[in-house]
Amino acid sequence: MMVDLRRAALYASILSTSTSLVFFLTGVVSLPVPLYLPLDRRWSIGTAAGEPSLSMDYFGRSLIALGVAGIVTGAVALTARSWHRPGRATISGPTTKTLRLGLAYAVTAFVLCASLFAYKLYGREAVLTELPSDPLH
Amino acid sequence: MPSVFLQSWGPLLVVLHSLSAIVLCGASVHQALLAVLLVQQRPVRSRSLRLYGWTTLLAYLSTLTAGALLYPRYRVVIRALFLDRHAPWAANLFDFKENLATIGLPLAIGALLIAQPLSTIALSTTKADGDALNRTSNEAASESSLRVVIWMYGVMTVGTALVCLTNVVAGLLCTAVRGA
Repeated sequence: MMVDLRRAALYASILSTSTSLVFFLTGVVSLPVPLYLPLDRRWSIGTAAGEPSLSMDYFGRSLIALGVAGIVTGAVALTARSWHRPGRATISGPTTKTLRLGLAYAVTAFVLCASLFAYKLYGREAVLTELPSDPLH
Repeated sequence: MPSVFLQSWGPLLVVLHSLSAIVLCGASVHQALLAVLLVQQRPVRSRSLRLYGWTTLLAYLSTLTAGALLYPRYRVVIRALFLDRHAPWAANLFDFKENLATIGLPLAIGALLIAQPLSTIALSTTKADGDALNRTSNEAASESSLRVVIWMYGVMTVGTALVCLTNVVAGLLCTAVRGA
């Protein structure tokens, strides 16, 4: 049971750390992400800066961050499970030191990512978008 | 016909978003308090760990989904037409809230991942003598790693609660500026 608990804690820290890191990356590097164009009601792939029309990159950045984190955590879990097969030497799960490191990485990545977006958004100048004369009808 | 996605459903979605957020705040704060009790080596009900873990995650997903469905309407009707012109600070605060919600989701998932096996351990020990920590293992190493796991659970649950409370305050401020 303790092995399950330690593994669950490790996976939780990997999920949180990788989400924060990938989300941080989408904030500092102009990566092409899925963009939603609400006035055109369509999706495209690119960078928000490259779109002439009103665009939303939040969905794309979130999906990429959560998707990559899910894949990374799933890969680690599958690898750990394959090591735990019958016939192989039983491993005792992550050590206390590994868990401490996992916790430290998760907290650091979260704080770093939140600080980046606070810094980027604090005092951001609004870019007034050209809208159709009546955008709602 | 409205040209923005789900524009006519806006008021209903705002109500759903708000109701989910109320449940989320209650569940996440309760979960964080349970974690504080565990860190203080006080006994907790193992059922509560699972219950608040699931409630927090489901309410988080529900709030996030309703918010995501509302977002195109907000982007055009609220932000582009009003906030960007008259209160850009509110638009920036709203964007910060959205970003915080995304990086907060793994904390809620992580808290539940830990709560499942943790509740089994807490149950077996609480039955014995009411102390959730002292009798979980005879090995010092296991006890030491259990302490780290409980701290991790504490960080995840308190983090989730802080994200939720921050987002509720930010959402209320933005709504106070322009309405929903």
